[in-house]
Amino acid sequence: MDFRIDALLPATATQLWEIFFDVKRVATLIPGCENVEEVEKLKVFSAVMRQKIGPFKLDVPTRIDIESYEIERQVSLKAAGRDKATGTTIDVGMVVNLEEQRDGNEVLCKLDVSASMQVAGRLASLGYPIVRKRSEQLFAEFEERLRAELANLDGGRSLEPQAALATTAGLEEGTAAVGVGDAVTAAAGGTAKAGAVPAAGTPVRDHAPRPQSSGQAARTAGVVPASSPRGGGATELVFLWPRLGINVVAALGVAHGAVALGQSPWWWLAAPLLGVAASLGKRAG
Amino acid sequence: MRAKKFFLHRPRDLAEAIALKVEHGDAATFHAGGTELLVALKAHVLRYEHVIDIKQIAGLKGVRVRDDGTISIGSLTTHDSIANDPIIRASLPGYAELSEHVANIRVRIAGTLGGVLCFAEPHADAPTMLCALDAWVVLAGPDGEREVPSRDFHLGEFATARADDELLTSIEIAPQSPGTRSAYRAFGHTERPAVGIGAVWSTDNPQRLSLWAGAISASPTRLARAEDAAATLAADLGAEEVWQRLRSAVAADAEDIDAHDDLHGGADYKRHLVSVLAERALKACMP
Repeated sequence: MDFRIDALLPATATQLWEIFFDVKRVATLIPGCENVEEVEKLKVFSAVMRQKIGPFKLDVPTRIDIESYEIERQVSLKAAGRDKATGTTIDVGMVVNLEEQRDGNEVLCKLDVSASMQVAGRLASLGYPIVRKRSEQLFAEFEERLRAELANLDGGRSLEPQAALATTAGLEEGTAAVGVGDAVTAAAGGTAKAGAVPAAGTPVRDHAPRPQSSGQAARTAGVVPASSPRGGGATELVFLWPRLGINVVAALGVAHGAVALGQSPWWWLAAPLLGVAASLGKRAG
Repeated sequence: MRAKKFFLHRPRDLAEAIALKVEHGDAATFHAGGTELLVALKAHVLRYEHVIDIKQIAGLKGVRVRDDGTISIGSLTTHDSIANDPIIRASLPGYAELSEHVANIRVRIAGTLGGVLCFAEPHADAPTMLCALDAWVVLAGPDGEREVPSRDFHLGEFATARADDELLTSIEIAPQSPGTRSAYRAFGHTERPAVGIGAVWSTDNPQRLSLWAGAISASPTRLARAEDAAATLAADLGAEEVWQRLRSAVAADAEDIDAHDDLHGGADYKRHLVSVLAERALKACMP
């Protein structure tokens, strides 16, 4: 199942980036997404997805991997999990694109969220329409929460029911798309610019840059892999691989040689420690 | 696969059953015929620590006629019992015929009407017909009893208006006038219907048609245009003439139904079936 949210929002790319790159914050917008933890800084997160369809309950421990990001422009992530009790698996891929646009003094940001979701296992045997319907409900609820979150942005910027925020959901083949969103927009100081935004309820399509695959994203200039250093924030020490393994092996060789030449047996301890220390690197958070 | 271990409770009366459910909350469920629940437990798509078997509770089985003529079907009455009940056969032959063809003989012998309504699997026969008959259900809970029209009871796939600690005790159907006839027609490639149409045609003054489509969407759907058109028809028309005057309204209603492609057929195919089955059900209602 493929889902899409296209919106022209009265916010700067920086403001939207703060929401979409803060996984814990964006998780609060996803219905049933709980216990979000950062496993690896800015790269791997864990969460639990809880859903209920009638008497059927899902409790899916989920791993979220940020595949790549380009600051204030794009973030690409994958989420996957499996409900142990029912064997139901969920795989989600999501690409969020932001593009800031200026219209006179007005700053708007084009938001393009593309997501694909696969549900498999015994609960999926309930039927594709039921699972799809629930998925559509989830994305519609996500849109609602996002709208509420944006309404709280930056204090003075208010949302008015004129901008374009449209969610579409369709089959994998891209047919039978169903518009479930209405439109919201706002302008700075609460002044809506009718010329800058489509009419209410009009889905915005194919204006924002299309999502790239992770490989494409990595080749694009300016795209930062999730594990790459970033400017600002705290700095943490990390072991660099494969440097660590090479250094330890070399250190053991040095220790062996030193002891063979009659040096102190403390070389067996000192050399590997030096090797480990030489393998440390800095990473900006 | 075997179901995971659970505690089996066998209350003797309604109050005890409801108290058990309140005590154990989400960890408990009611068990009647088991044709849906046990399959789901064995497939490990449902899991409960406590199963409350309500089959021992007296008064929830059988069909009886109340003083005002209302037909009351106990929630534990099986489809086979309904199909062979003399009251149902005499007053609601269309519903008796439906019950004769539910799923397979094992389901008809064990499966209960209350169970199929509460499980709310969309591809079921009985809910559609009960909506057409304007039936209502009686729910008993910790705060007493309440009645819910069948048309408001079904909220969607596996979702009903029944609260978690309520027990469906009976299904009530208002007495049918002598000029009222009902029929149900369904078609499907599996034991479950792809589409089912329930029709109730009353020649009493005013003339009235109740036409509902089931299994095609999340819950039974009223074919409102056809019902409205039927109210304006002359009383002396034959079955074919009635259908010719209603067919465009039925087709328009079918187009509006939120149907989906699934194992039972494509959405367009199911909408086509609505017209085909509505014609058959309607003609079966005509004298």
